[in-house]
Amino acid sequence: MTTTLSVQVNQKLRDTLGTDFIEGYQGTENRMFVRINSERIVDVAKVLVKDFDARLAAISAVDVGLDGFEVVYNFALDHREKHLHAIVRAPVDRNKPEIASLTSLLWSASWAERETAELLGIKFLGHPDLRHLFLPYEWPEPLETVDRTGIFDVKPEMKREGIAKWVPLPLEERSASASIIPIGPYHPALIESTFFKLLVKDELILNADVKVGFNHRGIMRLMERRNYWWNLFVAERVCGICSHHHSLTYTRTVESLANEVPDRARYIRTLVGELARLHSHLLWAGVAMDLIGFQTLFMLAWKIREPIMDCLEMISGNRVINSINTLGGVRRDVSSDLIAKVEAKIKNLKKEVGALVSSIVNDPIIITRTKGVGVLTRDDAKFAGVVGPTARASGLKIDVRKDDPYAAYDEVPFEVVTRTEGDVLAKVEVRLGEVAEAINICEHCLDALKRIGGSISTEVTAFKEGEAMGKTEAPRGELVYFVESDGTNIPKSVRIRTPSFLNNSSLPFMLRNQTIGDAPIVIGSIDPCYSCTDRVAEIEDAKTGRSFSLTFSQLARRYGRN
Amino acid sequence: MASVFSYLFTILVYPGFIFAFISGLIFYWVFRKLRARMQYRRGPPWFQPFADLVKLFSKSQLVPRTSHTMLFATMPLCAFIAIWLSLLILPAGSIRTVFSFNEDLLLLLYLLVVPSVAIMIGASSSSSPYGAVGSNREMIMMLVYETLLVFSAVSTGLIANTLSITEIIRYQYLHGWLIFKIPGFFLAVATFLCLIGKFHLKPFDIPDAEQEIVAGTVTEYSGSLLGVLELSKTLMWYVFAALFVNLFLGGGDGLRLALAIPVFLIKSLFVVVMFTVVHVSSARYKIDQAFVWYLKYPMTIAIIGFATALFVGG
Repeated sequence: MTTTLSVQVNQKLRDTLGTDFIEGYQGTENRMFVRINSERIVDVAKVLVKDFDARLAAISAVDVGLDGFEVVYNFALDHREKHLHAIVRAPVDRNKPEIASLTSLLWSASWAERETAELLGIKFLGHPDLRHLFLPYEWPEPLETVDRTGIFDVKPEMKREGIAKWVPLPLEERSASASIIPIGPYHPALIESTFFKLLVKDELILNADVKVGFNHRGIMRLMERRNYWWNLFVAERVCGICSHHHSLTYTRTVESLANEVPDRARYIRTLVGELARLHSHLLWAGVAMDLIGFQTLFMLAWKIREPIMDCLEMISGNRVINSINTLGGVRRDVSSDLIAKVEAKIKNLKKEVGALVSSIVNDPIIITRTKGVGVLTRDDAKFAGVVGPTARASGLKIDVRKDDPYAAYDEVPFEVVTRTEGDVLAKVEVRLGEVAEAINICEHCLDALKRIGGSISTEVTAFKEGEAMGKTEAPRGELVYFVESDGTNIPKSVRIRTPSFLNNSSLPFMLRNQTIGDAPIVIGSIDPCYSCTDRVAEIEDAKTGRSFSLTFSQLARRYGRN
Repeated sequence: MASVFSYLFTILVYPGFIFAFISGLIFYWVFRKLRARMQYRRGPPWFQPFADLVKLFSKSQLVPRTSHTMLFATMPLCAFIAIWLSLLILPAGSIRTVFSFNEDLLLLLYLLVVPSVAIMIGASSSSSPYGAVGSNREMIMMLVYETLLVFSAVSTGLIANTLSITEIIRYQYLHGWLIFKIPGFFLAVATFLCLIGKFHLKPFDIPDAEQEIVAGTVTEYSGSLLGVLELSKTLMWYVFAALFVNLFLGGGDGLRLALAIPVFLIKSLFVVVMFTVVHVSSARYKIDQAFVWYLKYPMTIAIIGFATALFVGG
C-alpha cells in the first residue's frame, strides 16, 4: 500500500470504467488529466467523492470546435495528497449537448452546471433547478421545454410579461401569514448588487432564494481574445479586493505552462498576497460589525486597515489593483529601505489588531448576535462545497496554501485556523485568527527578503501546448483558474471559478430558520463578492408593458455623446 | 390681552416650538459630532441638522400608490403635534409652565406614546414590506419600553407624593436630586434605558435597522413628510433629555430664569452625551433578544426602584 493516491485513483477509475476510460495523462504539479465517456460521469464522480473524498472544485466547458464540447470537471484531492487534482474531461456531442447532472450528489455542482448551461447551452439532465443563473429569469431563450422549478417558481407567467415579479411587491391580504422580504438588488446590507428573496413568517425565514448576475462582465471571454500579458490586467480587474490573488492565480497557472519563478519574486508575491489577505479580512471585520449595527468597530477596523493599504502602495505603487505580478516574476523589487518601513507599520498593526480582536470577542452583544447564528454544519459544508474561511469555520481543514502550496508558502511556517461550530462567530474567529497568521507570514517574508537576493523575474518566451489548472487561497477561499494553451500567445480558453461562486450558492443552507435580523450578518459571514455580466441591456416600460432591448452601442448612441 | 400673548409666547417661543427646536438642533448636532469623533470621523458642521431639514422640506413628495394615503400622510403630522403639545407642559428651566396642572406627568407620558404609535401606523399603511416589518418590531418594542417607562417615571411620583412635574421639580429643589436617592437612582437607570429604546438608539435601533430593513418604519417617506418626521425627531432630542433632567436631575433648580435656562440646557446636554456614549459603544440586538433584555434588566431595576420608593420613600 505504498502506492501514491494518484496511482490508486487512476487504477480505480480504470477498473470502474473499463472501455469508457478514454485516456489518462499526468500534467504538471501532480495534476491528473482523465478523458472519459460522458455517459459515465456520475460513476466517476461517485468513485472520486465517495471512495476518495474528493471535492468538486469547478465545472466548466470548453468549445472544441466541430467535435462539440468538452465538459471539464475539476476534482480536488489536494487535502489528501499534496497538489493532487483529478481533472475529468467528458466530451459531448455538438448536436446533442447532454450530460448527466451531479447536483444530487454534490450541491457544489448546481451553480456551476447552471452557469455552463447558460454560457454554452449544455443540458444537464436531472438538474433539479435549471433556472438562469446570471441572465434574468425572464430572459427569452429556446430552452422552453426544460422544466424550471425553483424555490420561487419561474413558470411561464414569469417569462417576459412577468417582469413585475422582480419589483418588490407590497404586502397583500393573501400573503398575510407569510410574506416575501426582498433583500436587494440594491440594499444597505449588500455592498454589491445581488438579490435575495426571503420567504418570511413573522421574523422567521422559511426559505431563501438567491439571484446573481447583475454585474456579469464576460471577463472569461475577454481573456480568450487577448494575449497572455494583456490578460494579467484583465484578471486583476475581476475583483478589487483580491486583485492580487487573481493575477497571482493567473500567473501561477500560465507559468506552469512556461517556466519557473525566482525565489525573491516568490517571497514578494507571498508578502503582497498576505497583505491583501490582511486588508480584506479587516475590511470584512468592519463590514460584519456594521451588519450587526456596531458602527464604531466598523470605523475602527477600517482605520486599522489603512496602514496596510499604505504598505501595499509603497511596495507595488498602487493601493487596490496592485499590478505587481508579471509572467515569470514580479515587476518591482522591495528595497531594504522599504522593508524597514513596512516592518515598522506591521509591528504597529500587531498591537492595533490585538485591541480590535479583544474588543470584538469580548463584547457581549456581538457574542449574542453571532453565536449559533447561520450555522453551516460540516456535512452541509461538504455537500455545498464551500471554500476558504467559510469551510474552515465548519471544520473542513482545506487551505490551498497548505494543500497545494504556491509562491513561497511551502517554506513559510503558519497554522491553518479552523473551528468546528460553523456559526457566524466561528467565521469571525477564523478570519481574525488568519489576520494574526498573516501578520506572522508577512514578518517571515520580510525577514526572508533580507536574506534572499537575485533577480525578481525571468523572461517568458514560449508557452507549451496543453492545459493547466492553478489555484490560490484568496481571502475568500480557493480561487481556481483553468487555462488551455495551443502554443500561441493567446490562450485557447480561460475559466475562472471564484471562491464566492461556491460560497454564495451555500447561502440558502445558512439562511433557513434564521430571523430577518440575522439575514444581513449571515449573508455577510461568507464575505460575499459578486462578479457577474451584462451583455445586452433589457429595458421594459413598466407603465405600458412594452419592452424593447438595446445593444450597448445603441444605448451609447441614444444616451451618450452624439 | 396680555394672557393671549403669553399663551402664544408659550406655544411658539418658550418653552414651545422655537426654544425646543433650537435646543433640539444643537443636541442632535452634538450627538452626531460626538459620535463621529468617537468613531475617528470628522463629523458634520454645526448647521447640518438644520440643513438636512431645509433640504427635506424643499424636496418633492412621493406617496406610494399602494399606500393608504390618508393615514400615510397624516401620521407624521400627528407625531409632530403630539411632541409640540408635550413641550407646553414640560418645564424648561422654570418651575412651572402656563399649562401645568396636577397630573401633567401622566399626560406627558401619553403624549410621548403618540409619535411611536403614529409612526407605526404610518409605516404599516405605506405598503412597504420593510415598513411592515419595522412597524411590527416597533410594536413589540413598545410593549416593553412604554410599560417600563410609565412604570418607572410614575414611580418617581411616589417619592415626591405627586404626579405633577412641577411638584417633582420643587421636591428636588427642597430635598436634592432624585438621582442621588436610593429609589430615584434605580428609577433613573430604568427610565434612561427605556428612553434609549424609545429613541431607537443602539443597541435598540431595531425598528429602523438599516442593514436589515433599509429605513424600517420610514422607508417610504420622502420630502416634507419625512421632514416633519425629522422635525419631530429633532424636538424629541430636546424632550427626552428635558424629561430626564426634570425628573431626576432637578430641572433648572429654581434659579432665576436667565440662569435656570443655561443650567437646564447644560444638564440636558449631559444626558445627550450619555445617550451618545451608549449609542457608540454597542451593536444592535435582535428583536427577541432586546425584548428579553428589557424584561431582565430594566424591569428588575425598575421594580427595585418601585419597591424601595413604596416602602422606604425618598
